[in-house]
Amino acid sequence: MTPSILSIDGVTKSFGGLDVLKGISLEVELGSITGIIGPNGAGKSTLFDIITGYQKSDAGTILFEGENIAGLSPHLFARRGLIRTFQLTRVFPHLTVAENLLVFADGKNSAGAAGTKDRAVELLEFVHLIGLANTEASTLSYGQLKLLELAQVLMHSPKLLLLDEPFAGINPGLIDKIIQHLRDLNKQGTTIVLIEHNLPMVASLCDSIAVVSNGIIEIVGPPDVVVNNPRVKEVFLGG
Amino acid sequence: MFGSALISGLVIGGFYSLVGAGLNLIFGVIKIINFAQGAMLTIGAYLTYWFVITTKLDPYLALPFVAITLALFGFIIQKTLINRVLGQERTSQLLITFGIALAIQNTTLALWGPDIRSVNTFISDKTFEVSGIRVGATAAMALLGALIVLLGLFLFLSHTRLGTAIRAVAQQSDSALLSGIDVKKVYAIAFALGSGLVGVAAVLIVPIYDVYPLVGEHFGIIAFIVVVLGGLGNIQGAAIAGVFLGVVQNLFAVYVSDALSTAILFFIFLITLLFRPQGIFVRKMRVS
Amino acid sequence: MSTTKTITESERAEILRPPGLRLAGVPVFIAMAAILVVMLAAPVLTDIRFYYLQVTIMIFFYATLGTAWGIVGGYCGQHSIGQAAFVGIGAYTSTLLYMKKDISPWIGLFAGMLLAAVVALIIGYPLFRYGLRGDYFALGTVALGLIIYELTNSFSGLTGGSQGIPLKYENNPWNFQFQDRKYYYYIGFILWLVTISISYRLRRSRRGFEMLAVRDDEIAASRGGISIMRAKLSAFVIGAVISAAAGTFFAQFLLFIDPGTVMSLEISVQVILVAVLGGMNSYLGGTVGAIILVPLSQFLSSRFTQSPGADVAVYGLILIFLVIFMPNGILGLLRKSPRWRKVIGW
Repeated sequence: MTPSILSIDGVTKSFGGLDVLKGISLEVELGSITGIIGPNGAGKSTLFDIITGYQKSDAGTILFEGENIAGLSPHLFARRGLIRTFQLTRVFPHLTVAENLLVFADGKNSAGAAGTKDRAVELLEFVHLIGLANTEASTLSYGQLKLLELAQVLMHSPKLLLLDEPFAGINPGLIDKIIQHLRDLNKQGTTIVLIEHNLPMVASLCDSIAVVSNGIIEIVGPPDVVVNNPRVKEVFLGG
Repeated sequence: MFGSALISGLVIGGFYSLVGAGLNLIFGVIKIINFAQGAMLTIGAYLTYWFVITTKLDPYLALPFVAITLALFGFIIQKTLINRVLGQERTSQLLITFGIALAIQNTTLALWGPDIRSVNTFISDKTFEVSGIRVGATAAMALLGALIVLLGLFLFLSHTRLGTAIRAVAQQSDSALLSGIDVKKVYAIAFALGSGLVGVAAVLIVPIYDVYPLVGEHFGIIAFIVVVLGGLGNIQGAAIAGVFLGVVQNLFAVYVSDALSTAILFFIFLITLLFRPQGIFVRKMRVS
Repeated sequence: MSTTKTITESERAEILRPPGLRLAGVPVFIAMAAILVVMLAAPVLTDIRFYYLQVTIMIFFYATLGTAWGIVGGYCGQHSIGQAAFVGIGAYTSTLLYMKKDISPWIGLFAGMLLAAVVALIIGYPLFRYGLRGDYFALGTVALGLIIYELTNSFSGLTGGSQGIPLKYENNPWNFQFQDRKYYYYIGFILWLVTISISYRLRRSRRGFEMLAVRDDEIAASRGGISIMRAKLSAFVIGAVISAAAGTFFAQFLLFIDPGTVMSLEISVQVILVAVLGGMNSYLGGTVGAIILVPLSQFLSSRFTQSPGADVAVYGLILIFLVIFMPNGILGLLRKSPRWRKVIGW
């Protein structure tokens, strides 16, 4: 069995009486693309927050590459190779497009460290934003911001990428482009976990899908199994 | 000794609560730190003085005039200046109210000079006793006035339509907007109301503290401490915080050091900001 | 929109070039060098009137403070309204050590800087810990300024209280005193130049980049591996240390200090005005702001001698105007131009 890069066991979280996560357990296989789907408010983003240190869980363990990462400060994850994105695209609005990447240009070559200046230019070309390199990021369109954010997270050559609704609000042409980037990344060894609502797209892209609903993972497995599950059909495709 | 210190502490504390109430309203609704509150108090004090000089009436009668004038003034300031920076980052908003405060405060100083003027009312010389402790009648009037106003404010906010709209905007301005409330208008009204409250405070203060350019500054800063201590937008909390501060300051002045009695308030302020910015009386609140 | 061609070598270099003066071109370079030479030579070669020397020294003073504020508020986005506290710490530390312990203010200078750093660390850590919203932070710095002011006023046994401390005059260079006021000009010049260099180099460094990122979006910065606390604390401490150094300089120049002169809220406001007017994100912002504001304040105070406070009222109006119409200041007007943006380090 392939090793897990991320092991989540029994994570619970409640906010003042509301139980958002009631015991989440999940093994993310090294080198896989895993999709997390579920109705709004099911706690998916909260789970990401807990994994990456923006919130604390009430109980449960989280292991990244075998090490316990619960309670670590958010900024310590990038160095370990764990990067996430947020539902709302977050870039640095008052810096130029190029500077948005150059912020992470360390030049050091250890694994999980940020890239070099050459890599920044490479990535800008990769996402076709090179022509806007010297303009302030605040002037970019939504789709361009998404691409910029993608380039940003790639500067770190992450081992594990957590994407929170990466395709929300962008046109199908761009979606295909991003999916292609993600597939290439995955081939090079990056494990990807993404939260999405679009079930057919998730089914075509992911090796494994976990359905989060009512604070627990109701089912997890390969796409064909999950898609054909009657409960899932009822929640996602019927309604 | 303890008793009289306590009583004066209560009086001045009630006062701090009143000055804080206006700031709290603005803070709680528009979510900006209004540095100009103290400057408004100064204007209110001078208005009271000129009212008395011109009409030869008792200063307490100036109350409606001063309150309404300040409310109008506040309304104008909000519409012309503050509205423009509402979209910007928070410190821009703070800086603009700071600029307004500086402009108002120092124009007052420039126009009317640093001299102290005083005003007498029909009860200026009267005192009475409460369980063996002498209390000035003006002080008692101030406390009574503060109580009436705070109670009135509380009732207004909880029992009138406008008050409810204000509370709705304070809690969740986006939903309030969606449910048809004219948020910009509520902002202007809240600012006007907050300024009017300061006007009332000014009228009550003048018989006790006299009229001089920096009168507002002292109370203005304390109003902040009251608001932060009591919790943003929390009227009851601010009331308690005001009294608490007044008592602490007075007891400190009597038993420890008079010179440092203001510093102790700033110290409490800093500690609160550092370790419990949501206020002492609030359970949990986002301030980031 | 975006291009599909790969870029040329020169375009690549252009994109990667860090902000800095090189992009300004040779003519600007020569002009700047000429200005610096004139500044260095003028007091010696011409028989310059003392008044102008004094105004220039004040410009150096406020430019230094404004540039320091630019690091905390402009680079890192932490708008502190209490810088005067650190100026006061610097001034009082070196002065008290000099008057009470006969320690040379040159050494006192470093003592003041050290103390300012310690205070900044102690106050900064809890202030930054909980991610206080910007204006609460500003309020906190106001509170800090007020506390230090009140404490200095109250412990008059130690600090001379509101009467202040006149410094004993010995005309001894080892004690940071010179009869010829021109020396103060050169020291002020050095202070200013060093501060600008620090800001310039910081802007081009990794640490500076981290501050900018934290300013723009803390959460994006932290997910990218940047420690928010480290960025904010560094900025705050650097700003405090520079302000303290300026404070000691000021004390030695005036030969008299009291709370109103070296640690008042008024000084904090003027520092902010200088920085915001000039353009807080640029290492040159404080300088531009000071060049405009110091002569203006001289003019105002001479014009309004009959009405105390009128000049501060004008500052208030300027502040209002700036916040509404020009929040990026004068240099901020250049930020849309790719070339000048890099030159001023926006």
